[in-house]
Amino acid sequence: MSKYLLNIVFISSLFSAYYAIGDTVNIAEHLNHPIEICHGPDGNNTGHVISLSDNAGGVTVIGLEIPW
Amino acid sequence: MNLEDISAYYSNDDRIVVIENLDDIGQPYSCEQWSDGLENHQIFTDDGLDYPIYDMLSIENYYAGRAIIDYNKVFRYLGIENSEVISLVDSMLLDWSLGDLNGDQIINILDIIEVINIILNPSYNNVADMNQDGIVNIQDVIILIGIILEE
Repeated sequence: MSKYLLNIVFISSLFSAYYAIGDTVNIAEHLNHPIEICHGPDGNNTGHVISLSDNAGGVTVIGLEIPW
Repeated sequence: MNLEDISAYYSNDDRIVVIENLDDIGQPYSCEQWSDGLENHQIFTDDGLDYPIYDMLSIENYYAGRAIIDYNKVFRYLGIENSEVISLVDSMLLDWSLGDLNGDQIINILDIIEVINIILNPSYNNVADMNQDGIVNIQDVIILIGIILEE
């Protein structure tokens, strides 16, 4: 039984996330993380480095794309 | 509706930014290939070798998911339904503009005058309907006054 519990705890930890819906995202730790524009709107701003905090006061919709 | 459709839908509203964050670029698609052929308004980004954005927002290892961070930096949505994204963002925009009748981003006496005009010349304006009961009346004026007094 304890083996099952350990497995559940282990598997849960694999799927853990920093945030749950409704949490405020930590600015210093996460929103300020530099991300590079590899293709800007209509091809502009490519190569610029931004962070999610640049849109503070606005709404950010993020697509999480991993091709595997 | 794809993410590019969402970005096109909000392309005239600079309060909304749509970012498509790519991981494992080059396996097999390059950033250019991801964006190829799209008349896109969104930004394609690369957050580096690891998966900081994905790790931050992914719950139950969704991929190809959509996440929303609102104007208060609150993580509001994670899912795969674009219709839910549109619905939630639209509701945020309504919350944002509720009471701001003249669209100057400030709620003040000028907005109260606008609401009174709507009441005197019976019509309906969603932005004036502060309690969202489908009618613009004195209750909405009272709510608006309350907001101004709180500020």
